Amino acid sequence: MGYKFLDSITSADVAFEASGRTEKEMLTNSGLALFSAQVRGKTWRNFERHVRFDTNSGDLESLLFRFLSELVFLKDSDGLLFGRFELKLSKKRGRFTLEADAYGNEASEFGKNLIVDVKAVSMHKFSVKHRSSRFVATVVLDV
Amino acid sequence: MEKKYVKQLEDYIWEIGRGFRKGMRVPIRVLASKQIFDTMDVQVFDQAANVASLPGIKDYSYVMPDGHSGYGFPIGGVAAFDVSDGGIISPGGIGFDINCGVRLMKTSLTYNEARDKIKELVGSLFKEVPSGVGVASKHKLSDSEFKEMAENGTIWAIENGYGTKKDLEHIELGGKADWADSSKISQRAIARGRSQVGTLGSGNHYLEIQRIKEGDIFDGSVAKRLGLFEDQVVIMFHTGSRGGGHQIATDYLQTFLASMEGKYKIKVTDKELASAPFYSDDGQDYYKAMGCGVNISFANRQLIASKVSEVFGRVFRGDPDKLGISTVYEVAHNRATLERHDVDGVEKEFLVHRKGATASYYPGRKEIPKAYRMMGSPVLIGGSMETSSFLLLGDSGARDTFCSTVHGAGRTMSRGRARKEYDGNKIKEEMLKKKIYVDSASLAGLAEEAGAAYKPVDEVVETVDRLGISRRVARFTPVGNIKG
Repeated sequence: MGYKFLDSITSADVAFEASGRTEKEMLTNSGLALFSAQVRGKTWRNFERHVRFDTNSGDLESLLFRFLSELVFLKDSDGLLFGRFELKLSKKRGRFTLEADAYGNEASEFGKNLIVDVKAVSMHKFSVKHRSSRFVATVVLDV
Repeated sequence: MEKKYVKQLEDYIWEIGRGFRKGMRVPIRVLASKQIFDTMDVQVFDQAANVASLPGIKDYSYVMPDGHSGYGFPIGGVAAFDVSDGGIISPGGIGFDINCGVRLMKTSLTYNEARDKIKELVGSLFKEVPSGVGVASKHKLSDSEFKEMAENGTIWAIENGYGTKKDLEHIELGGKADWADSSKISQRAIARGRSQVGTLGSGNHYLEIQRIKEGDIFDGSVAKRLGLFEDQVVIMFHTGSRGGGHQIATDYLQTFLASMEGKYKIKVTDKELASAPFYSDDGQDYYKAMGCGVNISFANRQLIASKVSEVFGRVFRGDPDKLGISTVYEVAHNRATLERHDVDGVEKEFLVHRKGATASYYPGRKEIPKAYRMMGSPVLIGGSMETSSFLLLGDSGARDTFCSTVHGAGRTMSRGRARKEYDGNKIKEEMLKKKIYVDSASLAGLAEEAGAAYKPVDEVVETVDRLGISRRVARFTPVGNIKG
């Protein structure tokens, strides 16, 4: 699994570390971690809703923040939770552009498997580092 | 933490010196019994030290006895910033859930009269008050209606038929942050907030039916003035500004991060503490936007209170007024408020950030609504769903804490660990054995909120009572609980 939850960073909220061999894989795993923070257990496969969005940034940390924040926004504005991602990432003149196809369901579809509502992506200990040939993101979510 | 930095000043007061972390401008002051202090997670002190390094902080970075680690400020963190001397405003010192708070409502019903209806009440309230992840609002507001709400808070709700003007006398700030300016909030905040008006949320948000057991009134005359009596049924609920408030904080955190170092030469040890001087363009913009978050939460609680009255009326087949349903008080525990305080014999204006901390105004302060002004401000403390909650009253010891006190029991265990150790279904069964009916949008969420994941609320409350910050008036025991 490309992410793990970190119990030692915060008592009140939810922290995770997501990683990947590439930037794109790290972003995908971060999106999956966000989903797992909100939906329990079972591996969900049948996603009926699809949303496409893009975002861009001059650095990878901000890009990750914007990607996750968009998913949180869509949860509240459209009531959707996303558990599968197809991402296209490009870099031109030092600027990242991310095109995201997110697949999910209406939150109500997950019934009693819902865990907790993520209010926001905080900047507390927020980082993306490149170590041992992997991109590693640390994220604390306000719940 | 190395012991050399810690000094116990009195039974319930601890100080952590400026040498604990580089850059600390003031010491940390922790209010806690020895048992509570010893079990606080170490990140609390790191987070309090980060707060202690912010520009303009006065006296101390405070940690209340319910303190535990969150993001930016610790939960239970309080800091007052001298706005005439470069003092800052920071979204991370308020939290994403701006003005998250608690309302206490009373009824004229005794527990014996209501006992057979509790299950039905829980079922109906769970159905009528939307709760849980991604749940939609039943109120369909246009953008302009949402902006009106964001500028007028509870007053907007009352003008639209939810509750009566009398409620305004029993809400902090009279239910309206008059400094709010909806031109300072983004379209995203409006879009996100519109869809969540009148919803409870999840996590530690709840709606609880409670009773006052025999022996749980500690100040009879104050209780009587507030209309509280033994065996009475009351209602307490905890929710905040929902998506609108969350987005306002998210937006301005990014604005501050972009401008902080270049424009204001402010460096912080934790990016979540991104700040701007209160009297700067960015600082004022956020303050006005934060005011909208405050009003969104006021309106949200008013809509839910109205629904609670309606459900009680329906279940008891009577007029809610005849059931004596009315608001005792409403407080917030995530807000920065501009207040005047006397420090070293000089009265000055401070922006008091309270994150997971409640205002506790001593008698006579103008922040207290007229009806309660000479008593001290009512303070509402939500315990865990398996224990009890409290009503306290602001007292003179609050002069030493910029009129701040606890907000709840405070976690001792991370959410992940609680989920591993407890089972939502079992908790539900055990609570039923204790005659507490529970309905929850999430069983895993219920496990995260297990009573054992929290500090003993009685001990937390005893600390502020002993220090004369807030004294105990009444304790409430849950009999029905709706968890988001």
